[in-house]
Amino acid sequence: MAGTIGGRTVSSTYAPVRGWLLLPSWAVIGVFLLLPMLLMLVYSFLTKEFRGGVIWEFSLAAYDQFIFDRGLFGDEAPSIEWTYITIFVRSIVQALLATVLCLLIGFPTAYYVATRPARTRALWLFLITIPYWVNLLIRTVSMKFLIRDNGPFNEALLGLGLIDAPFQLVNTNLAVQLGLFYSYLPFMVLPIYASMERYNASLSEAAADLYATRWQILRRVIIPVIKPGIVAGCILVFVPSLGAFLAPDLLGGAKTFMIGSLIEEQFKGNAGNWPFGAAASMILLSMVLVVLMLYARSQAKEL
Amino acid sequence: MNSQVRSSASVAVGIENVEKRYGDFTALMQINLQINDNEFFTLLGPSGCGKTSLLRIIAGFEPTSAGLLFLYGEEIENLPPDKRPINTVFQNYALFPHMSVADNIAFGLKMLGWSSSDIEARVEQMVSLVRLQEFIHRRPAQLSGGQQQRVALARAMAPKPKVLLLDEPLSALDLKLRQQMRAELKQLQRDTGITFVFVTHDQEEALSMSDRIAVMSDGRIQQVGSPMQIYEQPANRFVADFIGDTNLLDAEIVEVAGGGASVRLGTGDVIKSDTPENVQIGDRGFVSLRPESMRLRAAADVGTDAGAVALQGVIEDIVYLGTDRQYTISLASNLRISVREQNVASGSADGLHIGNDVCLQLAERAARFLVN
Ligand SMILES: Nc1ncnc2c1ncn2[C@@H]1O[C@H](COP(=O)(O)OP(=O)(O)OP(=O)(O)O)[C@@H](O)[C@H]1O
Ligand SMILES: [Mg+2]
Repeated sequence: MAGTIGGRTVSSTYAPVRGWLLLPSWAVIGVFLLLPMLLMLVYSFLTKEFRGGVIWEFSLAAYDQFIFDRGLFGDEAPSIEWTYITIFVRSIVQALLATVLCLLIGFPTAYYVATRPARTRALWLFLITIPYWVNLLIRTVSMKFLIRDNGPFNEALLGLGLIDAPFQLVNTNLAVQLGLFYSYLPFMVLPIYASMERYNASLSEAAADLYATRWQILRRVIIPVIKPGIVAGCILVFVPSLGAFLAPDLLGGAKTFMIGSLIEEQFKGNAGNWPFGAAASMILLSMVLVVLMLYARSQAKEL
Repeated sequence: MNSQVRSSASVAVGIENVEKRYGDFTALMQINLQINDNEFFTLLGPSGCGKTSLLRIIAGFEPTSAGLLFLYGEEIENLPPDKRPINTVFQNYALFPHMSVADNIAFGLKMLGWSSSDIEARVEQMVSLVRLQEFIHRRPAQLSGGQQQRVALARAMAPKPKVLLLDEPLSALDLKLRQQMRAELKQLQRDTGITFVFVTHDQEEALSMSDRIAVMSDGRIQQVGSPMQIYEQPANRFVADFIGDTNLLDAEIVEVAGGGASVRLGTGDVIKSDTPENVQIGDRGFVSLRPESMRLRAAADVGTDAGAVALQGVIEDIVYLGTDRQYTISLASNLRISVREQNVASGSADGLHIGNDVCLQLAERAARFLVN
């Protein structure tokens, strides 16, 4: 085993973490992550039982259903089924938007906090994490109360005379977007803050000394140097946003459905279709893996 | 200082009555300096005396609290760092970790908007100047300390600055490399004709490289002069003590004649001494005697030319230093003095053993009287 520290390869002889110390982690990952995923993979290729569950009989029906419409009784000539593809595309767009929004708001926030004196910094971090002491479900529900047609947000706008009729937010893509953005913002702020805090301010001075303007310093030095933090933040926001179901469930409606809700629905109660839910999960998983692989590739190219 | 001096083309950096306060702490007071064009100028002083603060003011990273700053006669106090034709070699190098050596060196040129063919040519030139040809594609983390230092140097010199500021650039290197880099830096300065403002707390470094040195302590400039002036005619006790080894003995002026004077030491002996201007009989202060400015003779050998003898004592200790021997001599009135004799040839130390009586002869102008 060899690792890299600060770009240099270090030999493992004195590396404090020996292989066997990782055994418990491997056990947990194996039992609670790999095994269930394997199970899902298998389920996605089985036949559905009508009241939930599966029949142990190989079938490609779940994947087929995802892509093709063969009529109500499955005997018509196949045409492309747009329902689920639309849901996936919507999910990707929403997750990308949430990532961009979190980056736009999170970067300046992290920058501001990281450039405060040490003591104020701790206070700011504390303030940023406070809302996250409350359960996400509760926070999402309260957001719904806040933005619904007769909620305080609309009441205020009406009261100020800025609008004549309530501004409908609940059940729109915008509301879901707000929910995603709000849920995952700290996942953007914290990694960026962490790499910003380690950033050596004399690099900015060196750049200024070499005739870079403030904007050039930001673009050519600060952002590239803290890029690992930015990328980590983007992944930490994008991946859970893609599979989110609380925000679309609570703030959205039928027209704002996302993958997470679709999967959730398949396993909930007796009406679900387990193989279909499993297949949707597998497709979601492969998309996430593609994103992570692209990231790994870009990192490898840089070294 | 009149405005003619300020605008004179031969003064690269003019500093007038500059002060720097951090809160209620005064880091620099009443700094007045004129750093000449093409000069290798060194700021020398102990840790915390304000060298970096002064350098950062010249570079534009810190505003002054008072005073004026000129670059070739033009006021630059209100110019931000990216508008000053001054480049810095940082103490920790501050190389851009995400860029190759070549990109680091090209950075300033890109910011200045040079064409890519000009940049390429200049980078090549700089890389061969600091002999890093094989490393241009490496990242800073893949270089040794000495190589990083050379990248920092090349990066700062590439845009052809009028003034180059260097903040203890050699302090992270080992002794051998440091000595080699001293010679290289000096050579670079001569070849390029760029004005160097070099910061160090190492007096040997300062003496061996500089055209002129400003000795600083506690936020003030103590003396400005050539290495020889600083060493041989220190302006005060601090400079005498900080630069090289010296013996500082209490002294009082008993006679003033021409450029020199006679002073009485605590031993009762009266010796000839250099003095600053305007000393008077009765002034008290110190005499600085460099260990290598005295000759040691066994009392038995002196005999007839006793007239050249200044002081007498007994050898208390001898330390062998390779090229030299260092003798500790106890004088009258419980005073001690240290003397260095070169080990010229075997036998040069004949008769100089611990416990022997010895006579000290002073070289001409060996003693320097200091008021404070
Ligand atoms: N930003 C600052 N805030 C408060 N005090 C400071 C600041 N920067 C420097 N000082 C103080 O000013 C004095 C001079 O500091 P400076 O860094 O110029 O010293 P230096 O001569 O470069 O020392 P060294 O050889 O150790 O680098 C020190 O006492 C230091 O504590
Ligand atoms: Mg310093």
